[in-house]
Amino acid sequence: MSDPPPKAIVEAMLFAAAEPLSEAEIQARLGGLGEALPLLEELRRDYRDRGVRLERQGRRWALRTAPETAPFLVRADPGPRRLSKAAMETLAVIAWRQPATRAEIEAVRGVPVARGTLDVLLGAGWVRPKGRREAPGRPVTWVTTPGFLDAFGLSSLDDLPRLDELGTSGLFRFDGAD
Amino acid sequence: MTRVGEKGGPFVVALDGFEGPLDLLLDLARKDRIDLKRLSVLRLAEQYLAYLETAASLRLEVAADYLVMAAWLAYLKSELLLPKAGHGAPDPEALADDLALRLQRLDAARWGADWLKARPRLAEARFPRGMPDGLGRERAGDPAPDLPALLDLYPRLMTRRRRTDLRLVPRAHMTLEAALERLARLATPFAWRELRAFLPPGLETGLPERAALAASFVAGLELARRGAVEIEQAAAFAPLRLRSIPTGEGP
Repeated sequence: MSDPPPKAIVEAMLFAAAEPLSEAEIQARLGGLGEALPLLEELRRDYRDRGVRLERQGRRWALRTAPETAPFLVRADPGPRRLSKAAMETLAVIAWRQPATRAEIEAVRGVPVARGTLDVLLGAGWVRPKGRREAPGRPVTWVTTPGFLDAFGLSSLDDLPRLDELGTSGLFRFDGAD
Repeated sequence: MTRVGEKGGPFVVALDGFEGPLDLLLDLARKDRIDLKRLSVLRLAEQYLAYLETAASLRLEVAADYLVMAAWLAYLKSELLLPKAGHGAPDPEALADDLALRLQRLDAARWGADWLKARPRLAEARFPRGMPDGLGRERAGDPAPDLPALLDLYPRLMTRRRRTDLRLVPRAHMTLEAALERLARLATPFAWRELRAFLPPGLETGLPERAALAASFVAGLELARRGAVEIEQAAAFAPLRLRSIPTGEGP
């Protein structure tokens, strides 16, 4: 029996996968049958006008329904919990400023970060702790996860608009005074 | 501030849903369409104080933060209005710029939060496949790591451990009293010396040395509190240096 075309193999993997697949994993499964990246790019073009899209999230890929079909996809169960203003702002500071410490988040927001706020973001799988900063108190630093890219439909952190474009250059950069 | 209830009603400041003074200030600045980069702290301070005055309902624990900010703004306003005194107080212009920068930062964070909120979210506007089977593995791999579950589990495991008897083994480490006596005797007013230089010679490295250093550090703090020594440190994690203050000239 001859092998199916490599593009079909990649498509089947993406269809069957429960989570976004990394290029490396796709390449490992494909073996010597083809180059994963060009095949993925080709598939993404194939899906461009379909109800299902092939999305790229950093080095991972996933099939997702097209945003404009959402009104027709009624779900019986309630969607994810609405996030509080505090949680969204905390997430924004982490996303733009990462790695960010709790003290830096508090400096931006002007109020203490409630314990539950980071727990909610951690529980959603959008942020994770990443080591400690070599500063007094060695505070834990927080970064966003690949799950954050998937949840907000971002290809990479470069998709976040630069705050400089708003004329707010250097806003999240902190100097010694902070 | 308004008192509610003539007969000793509770003292409350009504700040409908504002999350801290910075939040309220940003809202006031926005209402006035103030360019945050050319913020007039004078005007903002007046608006803020006026807002607090008209605030009608109240919660004391929240009020504290707002009152601190009000006091600070009133101080800043007076400093900006008065001719420069040059009495070594922080430069009011710099303080005003700092406030403007903080408001810009909060504004940017809020803009970022709104931008994220408007994204087509997974399971809201974009859906994964309804019945994913997952890709098969020939050999079952490690269970997927789940950080929140782990963080949740760890304290429960730790508290489940059987209680054990705690026995403290007396150790021959340098005591605080010994360190106090040694520092007070050896510190000189003429030269800064590193804290480490005060440790007795011949200490074993490792725990005994660290214990002696810790005792000397606490002793140094205590002596500094009494006005007997001065301590300085060039930067975070830099060596601590210490010298005594000649008696009679102490602060």
